[in-house]
Amino acid sequence: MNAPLPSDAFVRSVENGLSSLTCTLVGVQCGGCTNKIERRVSSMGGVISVRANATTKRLRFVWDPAVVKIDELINAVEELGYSAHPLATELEGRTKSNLLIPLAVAGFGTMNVMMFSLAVWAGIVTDMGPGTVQFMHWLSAGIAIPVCIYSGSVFFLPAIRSLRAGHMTIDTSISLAILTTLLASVYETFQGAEHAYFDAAVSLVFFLLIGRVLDQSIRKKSSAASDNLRAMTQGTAKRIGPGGQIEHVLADDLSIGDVIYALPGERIAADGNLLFDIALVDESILTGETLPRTVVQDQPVIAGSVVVGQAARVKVTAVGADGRIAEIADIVEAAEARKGRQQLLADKFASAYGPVVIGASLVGFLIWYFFLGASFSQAAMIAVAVMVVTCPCAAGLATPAVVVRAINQLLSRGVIVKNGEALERLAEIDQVVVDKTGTLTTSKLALENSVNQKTLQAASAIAANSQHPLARALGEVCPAKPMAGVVETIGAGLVAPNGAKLGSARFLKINGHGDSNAPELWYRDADGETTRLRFRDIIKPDAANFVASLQMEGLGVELLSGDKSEATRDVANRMGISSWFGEMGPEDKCQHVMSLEHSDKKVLMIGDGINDAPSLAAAYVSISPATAAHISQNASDIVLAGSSLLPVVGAIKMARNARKLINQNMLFATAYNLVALPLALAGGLTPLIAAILMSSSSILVMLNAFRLKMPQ
Amino acid sequence: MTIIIYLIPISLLLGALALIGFVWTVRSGQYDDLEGERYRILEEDAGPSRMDDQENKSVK
Repeated sequence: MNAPLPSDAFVRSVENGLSSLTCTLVGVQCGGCTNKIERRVSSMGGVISVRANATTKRLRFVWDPAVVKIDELINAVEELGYSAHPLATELEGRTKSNLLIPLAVAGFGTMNVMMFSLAVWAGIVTDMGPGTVQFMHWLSAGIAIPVCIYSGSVFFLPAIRSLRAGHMTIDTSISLAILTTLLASVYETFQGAEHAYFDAAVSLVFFLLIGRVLDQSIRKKSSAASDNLRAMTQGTAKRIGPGGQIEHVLADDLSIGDVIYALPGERIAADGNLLFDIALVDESILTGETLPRTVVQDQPVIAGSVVVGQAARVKVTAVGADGRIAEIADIVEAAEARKGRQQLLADKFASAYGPVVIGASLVGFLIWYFFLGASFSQAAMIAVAVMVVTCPCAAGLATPAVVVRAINQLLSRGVIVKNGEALERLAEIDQVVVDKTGTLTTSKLALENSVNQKTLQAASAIAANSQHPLARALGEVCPAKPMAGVVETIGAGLVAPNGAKLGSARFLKINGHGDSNAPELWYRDADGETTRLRFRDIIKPDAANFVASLQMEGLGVELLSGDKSEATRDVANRMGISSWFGEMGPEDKCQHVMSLEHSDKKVLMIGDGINDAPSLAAAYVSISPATAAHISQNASDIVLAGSSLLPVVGAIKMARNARKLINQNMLFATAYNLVALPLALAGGLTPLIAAILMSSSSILVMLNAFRLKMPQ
Repeated sequence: MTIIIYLIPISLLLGALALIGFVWTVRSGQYDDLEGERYRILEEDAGPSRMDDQENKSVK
């Protein structure tokens, strides 16, 4: 069995002394996998229920803690070849509002109102008396009005909100069309007219809700996927209790003065001071520097840094809103606030379009009523026909149809787009800014210069005793058995029993190379012969291909890094990036991205570190890999499910294709309206024919959306 | 034509029943996992899923 899992921090107790936990599942492809997991776990004693969800890739256990331990259950899942990560309660909630119910109500209303309408249309040409017609109209009103109010509130409420804020969105136009049709029909019914148009109003709500349901379903799916990724990076801590025992707690539950414990390879959960001796901390996720920093007793360490070498005990000095990460979170928030909300294409369309439609129907009414001698109700019906025929269905239905298809296809290729706005913005970018450590490079090092095999073997045998990244890199070039009796001075070097030394220039007392931060090791064998071992970043295998593809698409690529300028230049040269900046702090990076935006560039920022979070938030669109820090994934619009960057190129192409289709649909909608609007104004359309035209134009734009394909 | 006095309420009632049924399926979470459910019918034992439904309700 593995080491105890940090899952107890996430367990919730439910009634009857039972416990529950929700996990994310990695490796689940389909319902077949979830069934296998359910069968295996439910066969274990003490398990009350286990339910896996193949759509959201989550698993919920309910068990009796007196009989079985959660770690055993998770291990059972892992033995099947999947991995399960506990999910914090804040991430697991089911969304409260479900648009399926308003859609069903609207569907019910549409069908039943249509039933009366058909009777009326048939009855008028045969033998239905005016009394029965009016009875039918009142029945229709009795269904259509409550249905439109209930289901239509999906559009009305945001419309009211945006009107208060002083702008028009797609919801404003939709609400107006629904309400005028409804009101005019009520007026007609009071007048005892032959036709009322309740059917048009309800079917409008029904059609538009289809678009919203599609939109919501994809949002749910992608937000579940991005929450699942974040669950893998979220912080737990090992707290040392009063009796010296180790407790697993959530990083958020720590308080100042707690003593926490981190094993080599684990993240330090909170800012604090080192309690004992000396430790090496890898701060690459915070600063972008590949090499670890040496910390001695009572010096501060920052939350998020990884302990290298030996285990560290840390006394917590800052939690929650006080830590360095919280400081960065504030910059992120400020950058997001400055950027403001982008306007959706559909809303841009609606805000230009809405006033035109309202104006046209008003003008139509006035002309017919005052100049062409129509009765009040005839003129009102013309105004309604204008309203209905020009209803912004193309924008309300076709845009989500394209966006949903695009996001869904990207999701299946491991690109999680958090919302449709991000996809629209991705299509517009003209500049890409990439972080170095962890994004283009693997945050590991490789030997740069050639050294003879015998020396390498000897040095590697000494290095095998150390956890320092440079020593580990040496072990990867030339694996060797650890030599016995080697003494390590943490952060400086190693001495073998035969007098050979391996370490920094300072440790070997070599003059002229005093910079201990350079990625190099010096080896002096027992005879005093000195060898220099230089290291450089390992670039991810497909990174060069990625940069080249971006440049081929005509996008400028820049490299920003918190690492040393030499290391940054080296990577930039190898990748063919001409514009690079090293030694950039989080604020500098953010500033740089903003200055690019000021010069009218639309920047795509790709980064993974905590130090990238502010610039991710400031950029026009941002992407982070699955290995990115929690805060960076939150600040990004798009998260990659893997560490490879190549899917980004596909995503950009996909976004551009989607944008092309959306524009086509808008163009079609405009052309359709240019024909339909004069017809309606001329009184050539009854609201019924207008409703049929509107529906068929919606279906056409929907079909166009299906042409979207993943680019090769 | 007086027959419609009975037929219209009956047809509305039937429609309403279908609507109520649909709302129930939404509320009991039957659309939460469209991927997984289609494999679930291939299972011989529906035991765990039924227990989970009861449990879900009691937790809420």
